[in-house]
Amino acid sequence: MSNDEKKFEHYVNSLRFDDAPSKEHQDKLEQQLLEAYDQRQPAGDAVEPVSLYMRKLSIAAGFLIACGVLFWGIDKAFITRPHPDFIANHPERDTLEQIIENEQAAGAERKNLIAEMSDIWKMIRNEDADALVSVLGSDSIARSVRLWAAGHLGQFGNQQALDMLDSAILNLGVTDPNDPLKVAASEIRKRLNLPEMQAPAKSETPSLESLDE
Amino acid sequence: MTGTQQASSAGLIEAARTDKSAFSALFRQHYDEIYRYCARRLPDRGTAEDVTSQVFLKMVRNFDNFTGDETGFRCWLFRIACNEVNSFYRTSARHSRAMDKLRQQAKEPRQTPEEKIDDENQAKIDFLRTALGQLKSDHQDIVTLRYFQGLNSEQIGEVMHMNPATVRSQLSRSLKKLKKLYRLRQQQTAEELFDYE
Repeated sequence: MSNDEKKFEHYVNSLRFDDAPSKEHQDKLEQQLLEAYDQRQPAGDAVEPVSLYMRKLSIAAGFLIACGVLFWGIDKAFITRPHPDFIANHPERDTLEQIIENEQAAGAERKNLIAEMSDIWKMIRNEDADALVSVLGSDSIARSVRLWAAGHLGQFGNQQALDMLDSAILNLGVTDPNDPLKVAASEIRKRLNLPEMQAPAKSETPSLESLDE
Repeated sequence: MTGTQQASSAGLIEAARTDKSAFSALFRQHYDEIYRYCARRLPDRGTAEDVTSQVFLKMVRNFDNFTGDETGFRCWLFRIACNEVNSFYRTSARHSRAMDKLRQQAKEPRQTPEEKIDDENQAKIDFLRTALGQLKSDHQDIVTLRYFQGLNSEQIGEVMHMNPATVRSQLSRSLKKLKKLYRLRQQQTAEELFDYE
């Protein structure tokens, strides 16, 4: 023991701490402990290590199964994924296969294309004109897919769908008569016996020259 | 605890697992020691009693998991006590309240049910606690287990899960720091005196 240690020990021993235990507290605590003692599981009834291990294992397995079910539920509810036989069982199988061939899609690209067609097919079945107009105006979707959707919108679209299409054509400044939006609008007009949409009149804003005049 | 006491209490832990009276005996055997440790480290009797209660309640809750012998049991109790005391001081708000209380006590002479402890003695204790509070919590444990409870390096090593050599080196380092703090205090006291004069 070093000199410092000895000195410190002597110093601490010279102090008189107020550390006399209280009998009252001891008795009260003993009562509390005996109550807690009764509540605890007796050692004799303790679970054997093996069964404890099995219990832990079953909890872990249960947790994994619950996670799996949850993941499956989320997958089913929120992630749209085409049925593996979407193309094979589709009533327009040839058209869809032709689209895939035209787009020369393979691998992941093919899967994405099929997923897109699957989503659009749901819109067609639900006659969701609003969603289909958005699809037709989206450049990120393959043109052949949009034309296929346009054909369907043309078959069931009403005046309201036509208004939405005309509005999209004007907003996007579409002039190509073969653009899916134009194709769908044209089909609806034909079906409803309506005249073709007129090109907007040229702006009549006077030029600077005319102002000078 | 003496060797005879240890021998007499041999098997008490095993008996206490199923026998309530043996459990009571085990508690009574260790209560004083644990209470004294808490009382020396904590600012007042009330806190010391609360922390002691926590220590023994934790002990009873985890008693079935304890597998050691009598010596191991004592070390286990001290380990719980150290953790509980540190846990008390860990919360800074609590710590500052406790420190405020210590400072307050340093100014006001304390009356206890047992005896009146003189101001000088109390001031020394308060300063010692304040100085200990400036050490790392594991260093505080080592110093207090060594000098408040008289445990040797091997026993402290068992409590703290440390090599006895590490205990010795950390003890020496802690004492150096305490020495510095005491010198600083002496210097401040001297300066205060000088200013007063």
